[in-house]
Parts: sequence; C-alpha cells; structure tokens
Amino acid sequence: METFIVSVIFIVTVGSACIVAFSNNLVYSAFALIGTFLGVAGTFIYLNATFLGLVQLVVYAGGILVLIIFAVMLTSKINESSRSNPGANYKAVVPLVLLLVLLVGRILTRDVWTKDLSGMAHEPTITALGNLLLTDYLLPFELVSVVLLAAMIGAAVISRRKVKTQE
Amino acid sequence: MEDFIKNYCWLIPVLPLVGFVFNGLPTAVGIKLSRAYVYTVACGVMLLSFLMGVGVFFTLKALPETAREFTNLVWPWIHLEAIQLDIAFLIDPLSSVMILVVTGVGFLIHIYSTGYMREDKDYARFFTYLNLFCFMMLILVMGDNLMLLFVGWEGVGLCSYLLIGFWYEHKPNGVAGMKAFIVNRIGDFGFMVGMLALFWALYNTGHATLTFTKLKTVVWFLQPQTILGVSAVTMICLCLFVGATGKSAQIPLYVWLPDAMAGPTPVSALIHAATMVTAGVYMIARLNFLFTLSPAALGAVATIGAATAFIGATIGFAQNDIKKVLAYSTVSQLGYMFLALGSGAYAAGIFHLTTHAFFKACLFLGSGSVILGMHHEQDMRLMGGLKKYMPITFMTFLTATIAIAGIAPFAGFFSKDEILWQAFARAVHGPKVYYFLWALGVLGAMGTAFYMLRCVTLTFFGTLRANDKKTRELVHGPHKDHHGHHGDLVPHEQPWNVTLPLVVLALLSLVGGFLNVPYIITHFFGGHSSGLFNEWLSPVIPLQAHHEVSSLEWVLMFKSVLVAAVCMYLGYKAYTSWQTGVDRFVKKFPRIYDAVYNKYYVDEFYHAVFVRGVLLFNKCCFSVDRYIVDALVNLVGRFGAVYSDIIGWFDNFFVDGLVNGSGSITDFTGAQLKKLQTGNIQHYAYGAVLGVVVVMILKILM
Amino acid sequence: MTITPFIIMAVILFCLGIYIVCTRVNAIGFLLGIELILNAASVNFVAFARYHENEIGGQVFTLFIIALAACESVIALAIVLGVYKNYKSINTTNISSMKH
Repeated sequence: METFIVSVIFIVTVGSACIVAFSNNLVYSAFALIGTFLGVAGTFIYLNATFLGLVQLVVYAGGILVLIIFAVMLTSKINESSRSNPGANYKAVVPLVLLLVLLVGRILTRDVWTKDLSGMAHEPTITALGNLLLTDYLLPFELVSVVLLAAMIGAAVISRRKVKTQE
Repeated sequence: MEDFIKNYCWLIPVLPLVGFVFNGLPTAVGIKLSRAYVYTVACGVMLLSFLMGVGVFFTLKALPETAREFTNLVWPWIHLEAIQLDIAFLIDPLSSVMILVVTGVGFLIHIYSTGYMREDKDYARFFTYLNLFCFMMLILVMGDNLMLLFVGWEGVGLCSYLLIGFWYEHKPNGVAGMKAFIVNRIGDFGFMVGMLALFWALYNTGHATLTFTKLKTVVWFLQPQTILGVSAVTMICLCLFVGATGKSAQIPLYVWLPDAMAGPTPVSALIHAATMVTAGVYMIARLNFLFTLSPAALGAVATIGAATAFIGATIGFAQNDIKKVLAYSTVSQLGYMFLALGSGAYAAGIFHLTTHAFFKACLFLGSGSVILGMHHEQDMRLMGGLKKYMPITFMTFLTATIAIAGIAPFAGFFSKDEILWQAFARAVHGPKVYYFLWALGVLGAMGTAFYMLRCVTLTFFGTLRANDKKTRELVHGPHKDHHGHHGDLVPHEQPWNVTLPLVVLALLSLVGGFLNVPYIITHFFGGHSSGLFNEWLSPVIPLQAHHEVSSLEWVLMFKSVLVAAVCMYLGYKAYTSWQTGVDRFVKKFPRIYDAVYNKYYVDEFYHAVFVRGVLLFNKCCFSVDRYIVDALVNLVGRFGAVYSDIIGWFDNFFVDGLVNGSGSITDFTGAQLKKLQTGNIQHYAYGAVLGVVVVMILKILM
Repeated sequence: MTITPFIIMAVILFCLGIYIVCTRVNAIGFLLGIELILNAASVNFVAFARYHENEIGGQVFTLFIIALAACESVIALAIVLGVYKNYKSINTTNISSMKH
C-alpha cells in the first residue's frame, strides 16, 4: 500500500515537472505546475508534515499559481500563446544538466538511507512547529514577516509606477 | 648708570645704523628728504653714540684696573661643535679708545660735512653712507671675535668703495673706488687665510676659538704647531698682516689710498685718514698677544712699516695736489704705527693712531676748507697767500702741521718720538736691524716736516696764483676753464660748521700729546707715570718693562725736535725765497724728480706686471677654454648625441614595443571578455550552474 | 520504505529546474523553473527531517522557504509586468540593455 502511494506521488510529481520543463506552451507549463505542487504536498503529508502539506496547497497551488496564470494572461497575446515558451541553448545545457544529475545523485546517494520509515509514529508536528517558531526561530520568523510586508509594498509600488508612466 | 652702559653698549654701533635706516630707506625709495632732517638725524645719532662712548669710558674708569673688561652679548650667531661665535661686543680699554676716536672724530666730521656738502644734490645719500660707515667701523672695533671684526672689516671696505665713488658721474672716481676695493680684496684674502689658519691650528690643539678673550688664554698652545714647515704663529701673523697692509695702505698694497682721494674730502678725512685705514693697526694691537709670540712676524711688520713711512714721505715731496700730499702723508704715518707695532710697542702704535686721527683729520678738513674756498681747485701751484683770506683755516692747518712734524709739545711729538724711541730701544736690546729701521723712521720724520711745510707754504704763503693765466695754462692746459667762473677768483673763509671741527681738532692736536707723556719726562718733573695712555691700555697691552732713564733718550728727543724744526725751516725757505734753487735742482736731476713725482712708477709697475699679467693669463685661459675645453665639451656632446641615438632606437623598438604590446594585449583581452557580457540572463544562469558543477567536481575529486 | 525515492524525486525536480532556468526564454517560464528548484529543496528538508525523527527544524525551514517563495513570486511577477510595459515583451533575449 505504501509503495503504491509513494509510486503515485512520485509519478505525478516527476511527470508534471517534466511537462513544465519540456512543454512549449506556457499555459500548459503553468497548469502542469499544479501537479508538481500537489505531488510535493502529498510527499509532505506522507513524511509526517501535514501542516506543511496544507500550507503547500494553500500558498502554492492556491496563491502563487493563480498569480502566475494571471501574469501569463496579462503578458501574452492569445494568438501567440500556442508557442509562447520557446527554448534555447539546448546543446550546451543538456550535457550540463545530465552531468549535474549524475553529480547531485552521486552526492545524495553516497550515504545509504537504510532507515525504514514504516515503523515511525505518525504524530502531529503542528504544536512543536508553533513552539519553535515563537522561541528558537522567533527572529527569522519576524524577519520573514517584515520581508512579506516589504514584498507587498514593493509590488504595490512597482504597479503604481506603471500607472504613473501611463499618465 | 653703570648697568645701563653695560647692558646697552650695543647701542653705540646700532645708533648710526638707525641713522642709516632713517636716511637711507626714504632715499632708496626716492623720497626727497629735507636737508635739516638729514643732518639732524645723521649728526644726532653720532652725537648720541659719542655720548654713549664717553659713558663707556667713564664706566670703565670707575672699575678697578683688572676688571676693565666686559662683553655685551647681543645674540648667538654661529654655534657649532667646533666653535662658538656670537654677535657680542667686547668693551675694554682698547675698544673704548677706538670708540671714542671713531665716534668723536666721526661726529666732528659729520658736522663738517653739513657745511662741506651743503650744495651737493646727493646730500642724503652721503650721510646715509657716512652713518653706515660709522656702524661698520664700530662693529669692527667692538666685535668680540675675529669673525665679527672681519664683518666690520668688509663693511668699512664697502663703505669706502661707495664713498670714493660718491661722485660716480665722473669716471675716474668710480675707477678709483674699484681700485680700492680690488686692492683691499687681496689683503682681505690674506686676512681670511690667516683667520682660518688660526682656527685650524687651534682646532688641532682642541681649543678652537676666535673670541679675543679666549684666544688670549689658548694662544700658547699654538707654539709647537707648524704650517708648511713654518711656525704656525708666524704664518698666521704674516697672513693677518697681509690683510692689514691692504686695509691700512702699507707697502705693497698702498697704491689705492692716494687714488681714494677722489672721494669727498670729509670722506678722505674720516675713512682714509682717521679711522678705517687704522683698522689694521687696531687688529694687530688687538692680537698683540699673538704677534708677541712671533719675533719674525714682528720684524716683518716693523720693516714694512718703516719702509712705508720713508717712501710715503719721499713721494710727498713732489705732489701738487693738496689731497695727494696728505694721502701720502697718511701712508707714511700709518707706516710709523706699524713700526711701533713691529717694535712691540703696541700702545705707542695706538697712541699715534689717536693723535694722528686728530691732526690728520684736521689737515684733511683744512684742505677741504681750502678747496671750498678755491672753488674746487686742488692744485697747490694755483694757491698761495690764502693766509690772508682764510685765517681760521690757516691757523688750524698750521697747528696740525706742527703737530705732524713732531715739534714739542704738540701731539705728534709725543706719539712719533715714542715710536722712534721704542724702535731704537728694541735695537739696543734685540735685533740690530732695528737700528736701520729707526734710521728710516728718522729720515721719514725729516721728510714729513719738509713736505708738510712745503704744502703749507705753497698754500698759504706768498701771493695767490690762481688768477695768473700762465700758471693756469701750465696746470690745466691751454683754453681750459672747466670751473666755469668768470672773472678773478677770490677765496673766502667758510661758515662755522666747517671751521668749528677744524678748531676742535686743532686744539686736540695741540694738547692730545699730554695724554701720554713719556716716563722720562714725568720722571724729570718728579712723577713716575709711564703715560696715562699706556696705563689705560695696560689691561689689554702689557706695559713695557724697561724703565731705566738714559741720557740717550734725551739726546734722541732733542735731536728729533731739532731735525724737525730745521726741516720745517728748509721747507719754508725752499718754496719762498729759495724757489729758484729748487727749480734748478729739479732741472739738474729731472730723473729723480720724475721718479718721485710719478710715485716711483709703482702704479705703472703694478699695471705692467699684475694687470697685464692677469690679462695675459686671461688670454691663456681663453685659449685653453676655446681650443681644449670647448673641444672636450663638443666631443662629449657628440658622444652624447650618438649614445642617445642608440638609446632612442632601443627605446622605439623595445621599450615602446613592450608598452604598446601590454596595452594592446589588455585591449584584446578586454574585447574578448566583453563578449561574455551578453545581457542574456540564460547565459548568466548557465555560468552560475557551470561554477557549481566545477566546484562539485573538485569536491568529489578531492 | 526508505526516503530514497523522495531524494531521487528532489534531484529530478532540481535538475529540471536548472534546465528550465538555462533554456527558457520567457521570463515567466524562467520563474516556473525557480519554483521547481525551491520545491526540490523543500522536499529534501522535509525528507531529512523525517529521517531524523525529532528534527522539526527542517520543517521550519520549509515553512520559511514557502513564505519567501511567495514573496519572490510576487516581486518577480510585478517586475515581469513592469518589463512588459516597457519592452512590450517578456522575452529575455530581447531584454538585453545590460549588454556591453
């Protein structure tokens, strides 16, 4: 059963990531990204990070992706959209990426991750996360809040300037 | 009062300097000063300076005899490890006498100049120079070390040059100034060599100093020293004496002094009779402790002095210019002073210096008065009978003449006789050559009496010849009336500011001798003083030891007076009633007369030997310069050109190549690297990933 | 069941992200690649946190990554829109003002 679930998650994630990477249509790519995000959310839940899985769903699938699709719609003309995601430099990039796969795979699989996850208890981590965020990680937490605020203001400023230049 | 004098005696030289600045600065920038301002300032500072000098004198007198010496430090000057020299003024009996002579006679001559120069357009410039001279002269006599003395020495030389050439519009005056300056340079060279040799020799003994008070204590260390195989003391003394012969117009460097008469008469009186020319005498008297160590040098001084005294007197026989006569007389009298110094009688030398300052200044000022009265006519052949027109001038001139001739009890008798007696005494006790020198001195004294009376007679007795056309043409050549006055010349007496100094100086020449009455006379009257002047100077110049009264001295004394009187009578007669006899003598022995008249052709000789010699040497130098040095220089230049061609070639091909090469390599590299900057974000990302991959490979391989 | 499949999945996601970043011309496609890379990192964090049972820190980091990714997306898309207004294109080959 576990093997099946992991297999499904793996296939969905990698498959949709491939579509994102190799599709020439930007709209397809953007929508395929949903699959990747969902797969990653599933991974999180499977790995006992239920809260993160939910956040992944809400923020990525619900927020960022919508934003991206909006941007696609705003910047592409309809008749161009069939081939709006052209690629370049394949000859140089493909060998490099293959090399990278080998290297990263070699590094990550150098150690044998033999420990079996099946026996581990499934207990909610949300309480522990909350405690950590308000104790050990308080400063990064506050910083992230400030960054979020800055991003909001920044985005507003950038779009406002656009309006001004149009006037 | 005493403290004031001690602390402020630097004012004595500085006051004339103040006058120099107050008159000189406005004149230099072209402001026309009123005559009243000029003479008030110039004479005022001299009067104040003189009063200070009197104050110094009485301050010293109040002190006990052994303590009559103090130094007034003005500021430190040269402080080296080897030697310490300060701008400091030494006040002792010797310098106090010199201060009184310089400021006193100087003040009188300033007064006289207000009359003599009253019509001159460069009135302010004249007094400026005169004040500067007094400043320098006071530095000379007050300096506490040889170096400061040398500063004054050069300074008075400069002023002498400036004042001889005062009327520079007339070329011979400028030439005379240059002659004085150049001849003095020769002497100054000797002085400097002597001073440096003294320093060097003392430095070898480890007691280097040039300060007089210290020199006195360390001079003994010099005795074993030698320079070029000659005793160091003798060498140093001779070198310094060369300096003295230059400044004090002794053989062989006396030739500038007669020419120096080109300057205004007060200048002749002050600088070229009373003060500056006695600097050499002062210097030797100041260094008496040094000269005493070297009998050889003293002998040289005495010989030169006696020879100069005699030769100067003989040249005086045949001069027609009244100032020239007095100039040779000065040369001769300076010779007496050196004879005194050379005989070891330093005090007698200084005493003669003082009395000579009185009577020779009086004579020169009198001649100046005559020249004014004769409307700038200086030739005695055109004078005569002035006794009638200028009685005050005549009386004072006559007084001074009797004084210089050595008739008792006038000043010259005491001083000159003292010198002759000291020379004689030295001959008795020491080297016999001094008999000969004494004889020369006596002959010179006879000559002095003769030519001075000749001068007086030609000028004041007989009848006025200035309006005689034949005599005029004889003197000035035909059709020459360069004075521009028409009608007969009528001499006239001068105003008070000219005659007052004459009277004062004549009185001083009359009584000045009593300052130093010889021991033998005081002894005769029951006293036992060896002369006020000698005693006054005794802290600086030790008293002569021998006091035995000999009848010989009486004999010599009477002989001197007698001989002088006879010569004066002869001189008077020869140019009045025996005139024809003199003319016959001249006609019979024209060679002798010409030789004397032309001053033994010394000037011509110097011209032929030294001036021509220098010019010839100059030509040789020019040839060497032209044909050898120039050729060498050109050769070097040619070589340089070839060498620089090679260098230039190397520079063009190698150095420039390197520089340009590195430049173009950089340029090329830049152009290639520039292409990496594509502006394409994929390329940058690619580069970053490539870097990560490389790092990973390295990480794995290591 | 070990965490190996998840690590392999992360490697694949990461390399696909790199591939996209190096090849895509479109600025939004470029952004998608970055999201993939970030997700690969998140997966690794969570996987290793699980592997070391008590390490909740990995999950905290993932949380931060998600928050920062959100910010990044917002800013990046705002910039993309700005670029589009200026250049009338979001084709990165056309946007080469920084060329030499």
